[in-house]
Amino acid sequence: MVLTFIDYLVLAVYFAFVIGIGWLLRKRVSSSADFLTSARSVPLWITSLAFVATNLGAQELIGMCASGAKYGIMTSHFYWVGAIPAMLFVGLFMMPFYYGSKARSVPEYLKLRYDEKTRAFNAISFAVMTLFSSGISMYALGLLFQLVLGWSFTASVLLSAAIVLVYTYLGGLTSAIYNEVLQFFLIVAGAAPLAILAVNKAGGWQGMASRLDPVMTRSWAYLSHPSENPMGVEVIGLVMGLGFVLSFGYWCTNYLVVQRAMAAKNMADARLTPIVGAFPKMFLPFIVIVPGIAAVALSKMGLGYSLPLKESGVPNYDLALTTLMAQFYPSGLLGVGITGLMASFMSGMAGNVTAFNTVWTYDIYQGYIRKNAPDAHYLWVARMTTIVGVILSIGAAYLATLYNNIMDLLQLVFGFVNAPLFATFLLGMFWKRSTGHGAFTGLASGTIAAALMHGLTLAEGKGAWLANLHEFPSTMAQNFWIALGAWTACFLVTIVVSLATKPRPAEELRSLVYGLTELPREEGVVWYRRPAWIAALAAVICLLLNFLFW
Amino acid sequence: MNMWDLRTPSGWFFVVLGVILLAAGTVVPGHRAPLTEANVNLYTGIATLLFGGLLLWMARRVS
Repeated sequence: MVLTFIDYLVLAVYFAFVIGIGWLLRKRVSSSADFLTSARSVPLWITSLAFVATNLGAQELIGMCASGAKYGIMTSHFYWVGAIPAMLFVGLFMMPFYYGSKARSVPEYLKLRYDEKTRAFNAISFAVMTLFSSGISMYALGLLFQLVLGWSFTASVLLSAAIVLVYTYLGGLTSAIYNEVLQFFLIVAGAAPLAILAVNKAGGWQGMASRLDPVMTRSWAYLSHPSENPMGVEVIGLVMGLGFVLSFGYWCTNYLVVQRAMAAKNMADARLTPIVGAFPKMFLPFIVIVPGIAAVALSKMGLGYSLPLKESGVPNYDLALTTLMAQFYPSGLLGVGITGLMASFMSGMAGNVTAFNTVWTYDIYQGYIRKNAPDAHYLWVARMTTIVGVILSIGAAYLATLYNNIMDLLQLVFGFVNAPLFATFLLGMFWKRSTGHGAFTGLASGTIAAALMHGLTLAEGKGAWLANLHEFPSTMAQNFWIALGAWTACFLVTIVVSLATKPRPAEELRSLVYGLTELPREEGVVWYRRPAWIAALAAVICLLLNFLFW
Repeated sequence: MNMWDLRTPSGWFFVVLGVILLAAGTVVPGHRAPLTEANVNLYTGIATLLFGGLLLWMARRVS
């Protein structure tokens, strides 16, 4: 794939605008709250799109297209089962506590609700994970551009990191959020034409279905047994593992996304942020997954297109998106497609860096290193943390080049930490009897249970480093069941230890726990500003999509 | 914190992008990708230009 002057022009215009937005916002940042939390002043439509865009990194764009080619429309479960219900839940039920507690971050909520050690556990694990996530995303992008465009890995990584650094350093969270919205539009502009052109060329949905194995175009019909589908999962593993534990663990407790909603102007907008974001989110499969399915159909049509192969002879699904772009996009639109990929990487990286900033500055530096410094000092620390965060992310990208399996390992560890965390939050927000000791012991037990389950089970040659007691048909099934096990262990241990330890007085838990918090009133509010009504509408549309591709 | 309307810079971005694509589609109308018969630069240029214009119109209407 060769880019021409006009493609580079599109890329240059994009770089100029994202840096320009950071430059325009720099004078509006005068305090650490402005820099790290946007002083809770961002409009709803922006926080909603940023909520979706921060999860729309390069890995998601490339990975979902690859999964579309490998697993078919079943991949949409990562949206319609693995995202939408959790997004509606966090908006309806959890945001009143996050936003109403006045906590500046998710770890700070844990400190208010439980105690210092629970916050420290979450803050440290989250800070380390965000840096690695950011670095691995950078690694994936550098590798892709090296392979597809022949660009230098170092040049790709340093250029994109430098641009993210400039605009997040200048404008902090607001700059990251504003750019995420621009990036969201650009990702859609770069990917949507490909979906239309590829599906049209493959004869529309019916034409594709006629050329593919039926399992590729049905989302639920082949889930009664793991052997029936290429994912190797069945209904219970999918719904409970992905749809409940992993999904709710990510969307409801990951500060990376929750931070966007917490930047909203008021409680109503904070609640509506994930709910409104659910609408674009549920239609993303049509532009990120469907092209992958079309790629498989096109490769069977004798048009001169085929999925590239790895050295082992198996298809290299990761290249489905870029090879389709090369086949369908002429110079000009190709520049938009590549810029969309670059934008997706940047929105993911900026999300990680700004979340890392806030957690480091408020939860670690202010919490444990220097408690009562002037605000100007924390603003300075936040800016310096931006630089350090980007440098450490670059380091993580190079670390990933040294270890082939670091990506798998980190995704696994991320699951170990996130899955039990959802149990901690669920009990913390909805059961006033849960205690700090219970939460901390539960979190540790959940993480240990996850590690044990991985050590005792095998899937595709992975795991069973202690003993092989059970074999899963796929690593995906293994991950779903490990998450479920970790969540259950945390949930049960937290309850048992909480019942054995002294709870905090009820008056200390106001605005933190259901039953002790005055929930937002909706009387007299027009229907389209009511979270419950909008969530119901989103749920109905999501159900219809599931039935449509049943 | 005082915010400004993101629709203005976003609108200008898509107007510029639309003009570039429109120019590519007009100046080199015969340029095609291997599997595309249509002048996709022209059509996406028009769509992008309209989207940018819509954002600018919405920002102007509010201000």
